[in-house]
Amino acid sequence: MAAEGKTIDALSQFELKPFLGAIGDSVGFTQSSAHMLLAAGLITLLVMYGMASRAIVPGRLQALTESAYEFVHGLVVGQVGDEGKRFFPFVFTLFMFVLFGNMMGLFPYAFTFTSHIAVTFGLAAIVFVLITVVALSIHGRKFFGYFFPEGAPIWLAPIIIPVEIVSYLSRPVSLSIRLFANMVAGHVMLKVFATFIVLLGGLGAVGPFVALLPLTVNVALVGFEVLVAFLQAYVFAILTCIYLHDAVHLH
Amino acid sequence: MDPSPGGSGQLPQGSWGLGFRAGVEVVSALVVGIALGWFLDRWLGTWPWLFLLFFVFGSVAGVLNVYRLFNPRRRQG
Repeated sequence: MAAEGKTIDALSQFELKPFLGAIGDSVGFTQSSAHMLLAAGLITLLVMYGMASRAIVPGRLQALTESAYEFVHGLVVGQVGDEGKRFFPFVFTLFMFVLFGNMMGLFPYAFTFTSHIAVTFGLAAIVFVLITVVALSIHGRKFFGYFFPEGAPIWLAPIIIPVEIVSYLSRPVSLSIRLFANMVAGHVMLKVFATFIVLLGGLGAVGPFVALLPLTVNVALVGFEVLVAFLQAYVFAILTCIYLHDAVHLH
Repeated sequence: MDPSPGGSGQLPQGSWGLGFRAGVEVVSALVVGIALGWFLDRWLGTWPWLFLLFFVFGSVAGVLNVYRLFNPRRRQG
């Protein structure tokens, strides 16, 4: 555990371990992949079971499914407009996957797959490829006008064009770094304060009383982390919508 | 990192979240600029000139990203 040898070991929680011993090892299937599969399964179950009854007065599960659907639907239509409806399945999948990844990571013994930059960058790269393909297919060659605003003096082109290209390319990077950094920071803080509880608890007679302090902090942190988990999934989805808006309307 | 999002239209507007977003935008633009310059240099064998040039482009793009964070250029259609 974390407190062995009286050191704070906050980063070992992000280590990848093969799932099911030798079987997972031979195909490179880690606990991270297992959690991704679990998230996909849970989302499918939620939507299938939630909407199975199709009641006019929804039950709890159906109300949850419907509010998730309407939340993302409002997001997509509000940001992209009516043309954005065809991107709804994509944004809904993305939002639910990130949300479940963030939330599942808060359970004991669970792994947070959104705390790996490879995963968040993979998701952001999909978004980046999609917005570029959408913009190219809708606007064709006019898409490249995106990198040089109309009305700017032509002698500024050698400066504006590279800057705009770098700015455009920085979108997936900032999208992935934001999610990854938030998740890592939250989990490291939780682990550090949890280690304080164990370390302070072993300080003789006063130990258990002093250890109450980091315990209180951790209780507050878990609540905060639930908020961050939702908020980061929301930010990921809304930025995807904003980029889709740029791709559809081009500017 | 900040209070609950308002409705379905806007990004959450808290001072912490906004500050964090601005930092991420600058860092990611710099990372892209440096990476582009470094790879172009390795490809063309012009180390370190394109690296330095794209470092500047990355910084400018970072400032531009932060500027767009506060003044989104959409909304006109």
